[in-house]
Amino acid sequence: MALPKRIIKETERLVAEPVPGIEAVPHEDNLRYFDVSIHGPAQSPYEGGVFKLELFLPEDYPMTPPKIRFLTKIYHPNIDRLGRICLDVLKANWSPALQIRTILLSIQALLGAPNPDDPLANDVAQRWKEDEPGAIATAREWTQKHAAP
Amino acid sequence: MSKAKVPRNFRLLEELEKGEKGLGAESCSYGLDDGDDIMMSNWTGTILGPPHSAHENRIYSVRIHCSEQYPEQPPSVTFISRVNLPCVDQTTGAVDATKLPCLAQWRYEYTMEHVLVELRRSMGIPQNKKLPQPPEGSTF
Amino acid sequence: MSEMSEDDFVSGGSDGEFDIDESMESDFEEEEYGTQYLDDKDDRPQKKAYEVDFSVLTENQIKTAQHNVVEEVSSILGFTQENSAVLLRHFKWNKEVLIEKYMDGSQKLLQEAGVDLTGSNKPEFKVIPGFSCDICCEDEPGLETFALRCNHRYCADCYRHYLSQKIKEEAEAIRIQCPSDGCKILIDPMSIQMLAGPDVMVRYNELLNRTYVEDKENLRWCPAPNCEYVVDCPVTQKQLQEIVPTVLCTCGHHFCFGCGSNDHQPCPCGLVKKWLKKCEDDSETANWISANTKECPKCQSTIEKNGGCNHMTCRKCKHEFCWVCMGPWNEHGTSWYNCNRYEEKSGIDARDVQAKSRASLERYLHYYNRYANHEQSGKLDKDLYIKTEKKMTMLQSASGMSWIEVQYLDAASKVLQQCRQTLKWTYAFAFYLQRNHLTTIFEDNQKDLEMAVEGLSELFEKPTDQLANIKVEMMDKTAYVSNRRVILLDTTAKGLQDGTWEFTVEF
Repeated sequence: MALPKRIIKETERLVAEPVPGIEAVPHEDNLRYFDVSIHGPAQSPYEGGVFKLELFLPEDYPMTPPKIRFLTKIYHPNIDRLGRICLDVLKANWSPALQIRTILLSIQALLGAPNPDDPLANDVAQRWKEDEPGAIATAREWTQKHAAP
Repeated sequence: MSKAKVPRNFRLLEELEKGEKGLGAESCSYGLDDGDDIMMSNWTGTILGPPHSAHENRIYSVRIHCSEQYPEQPPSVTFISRVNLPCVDQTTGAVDATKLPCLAQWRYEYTMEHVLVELRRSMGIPQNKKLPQPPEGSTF
Repeated sequence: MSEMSEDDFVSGGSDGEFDIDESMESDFEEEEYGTQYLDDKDDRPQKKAYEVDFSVLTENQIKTAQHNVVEEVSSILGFTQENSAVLLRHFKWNKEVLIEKYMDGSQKLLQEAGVDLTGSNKPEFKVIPGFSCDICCEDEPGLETFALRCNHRYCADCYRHYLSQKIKEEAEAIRIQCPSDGCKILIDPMSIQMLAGPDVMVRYNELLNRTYVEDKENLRWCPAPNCEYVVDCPVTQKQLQEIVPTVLCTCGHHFCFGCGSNDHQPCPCGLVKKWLKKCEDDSETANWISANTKECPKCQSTIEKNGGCNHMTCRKCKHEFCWVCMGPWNEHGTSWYNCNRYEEKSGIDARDVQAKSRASLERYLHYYNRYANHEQSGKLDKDLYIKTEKKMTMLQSASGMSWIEVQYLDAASKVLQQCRQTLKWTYAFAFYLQRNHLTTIFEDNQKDLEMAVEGLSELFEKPTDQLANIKVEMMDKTAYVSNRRVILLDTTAKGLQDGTWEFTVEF
């Protein structure tokens, strides 16, 4: 089966009108598989970091959400040690009208606004609640250590 | 290509989730060696010996390595617990991929669970189930 | 059968294993015809303490019930039946709450429930020139499109895929929103009917029924595979500390209405949950122990248990022992039987934490092993029955007995299964029971049932050619075993209701 028109269009648009601070490039041998990089948002502990992610559009996309995870280590209450992300629009609130670009923007926004009340990485979330300045400092350290451009 | 091809990492994440939720076969389990290993290469599997065989009630541990080419290429499997089986090298514990059908005729859709289940099955087949076994708990 | 009344039991009567007499047989027959106790003329209550009221409903009855409420609400509130149904589902079929909320403001209510009466678009298929679908990016001329009242328009194919994904893959029926991101309008049943193919519709209707049953506290689907009956029972979740509501579905499956698990009388749901969790957590240890006790205690040769009976005879050295406690069988005798009771270890230095934890593990293993043993025996008894069934035919031709005449084997097997199930859970119950003067009553009951079961199980394992000669004995024992179970369940249930049992944990 050829690649669905929707995926072709989305890919074209990602290239033609790139989102600032976000890059998504499909693999040559698998056009549903993207190498993604997201710049840490300004005024966040991730500022200055470039985070690598991988994204895959499953068979039922866009009826089911894309699968995404961080490849760069990141200290964040909603991202676990394997880079898996807890984000509502990637799960129950997915809508087929959402796109790769909107999802990546949501992830960038999540970096700017961590939500320790809906944690995926429990230890990080705990620390975020009990010692926010300390947690932010660690997030900054990790950004410098693992996400240097 | 008729179906979307799931890339290695997402495939391993699927397997991990299945293992974590305990959705797989009850007699076999597997998990990541290192929860921080972003490449998810090294795994440990356990097999509960099949009943009515010399393996009954024994618990075997195996190391599973998934290379960059997984699941195009089969994983490599090595027993940690000592076991006497025709497909297992008696000095290293390595599983001879040519002697285990699912590894020899590996397919993209096969998973680590397939391998563990087949190893368990091979312990219980008539020609293997009575093979004398090394002491329980000994390792390679 | 008056000597089997619970009065006798509570007074600590001598209802031991010697009470087998002719009256048993008549009682057994009563049970066979399903009229157990009902036609007794004395002042005994009609219902035993462990029995609950319930009825079994068919899928059609469920549909009719829904339809009736929808009609009623529709006529009270003046909404269409369709919107009334959406509202009722939103309020989990609680008609009173719905009407009350309606009085507070109808517009807000509709919005909350995802019913939109403000949008102007009429949900229907349309072809719109120059349309491009935001989901699939198709833009060929003549593309059929669809939109709800909110006018978020997509091509009909995407709509169909979307519904199929939600209904068939995600098992969603009543909360399917417009595919547009952030639009809270629900896809109404009419639109679903217009869009969905027949297979999706079948699933959709199933899901609607399922949600109805799940939303109503007094209903529960029979959990047996492929069973489509629903059980209606008034026992609420709050009552589960006092009662174990066991029901029997028309399909023949006994289950607990409280939690949906297989019959776990006399153990309350809360304790069952705790027990299973504990067994899961401690299974490694338990496995180790049971793995290490499968040898003949005398000659150490491996013993394979192939029937449900606990009376073991080593093939090699002929040593006879009890599978549960591994003690010699002759010590069990018939007058006393210490295999069910864990002798609390006294004189343990309370400050010796290690000894304490070891004792608590031992205590757990005592109960666990007996629990697991009955579970295992139950399975083996079943296997044995399957084999026996084949021989029942042979028995008929050999002994000249009719099919009806060999049914006593079937009855015995069923009673065995049921009693093993009960016995299994008595051990979980006993594990959490606080030791007091009443505990002995429970343990005596447990012991009596256990002995009776082992006796019957032993008969059951006899070679087929002997089965014909022990018919009367078997029928007597079956009736006796069955009665011991009734007594145990009845007294335990009364204790739960009256709150006389004390437990070591809260549940």
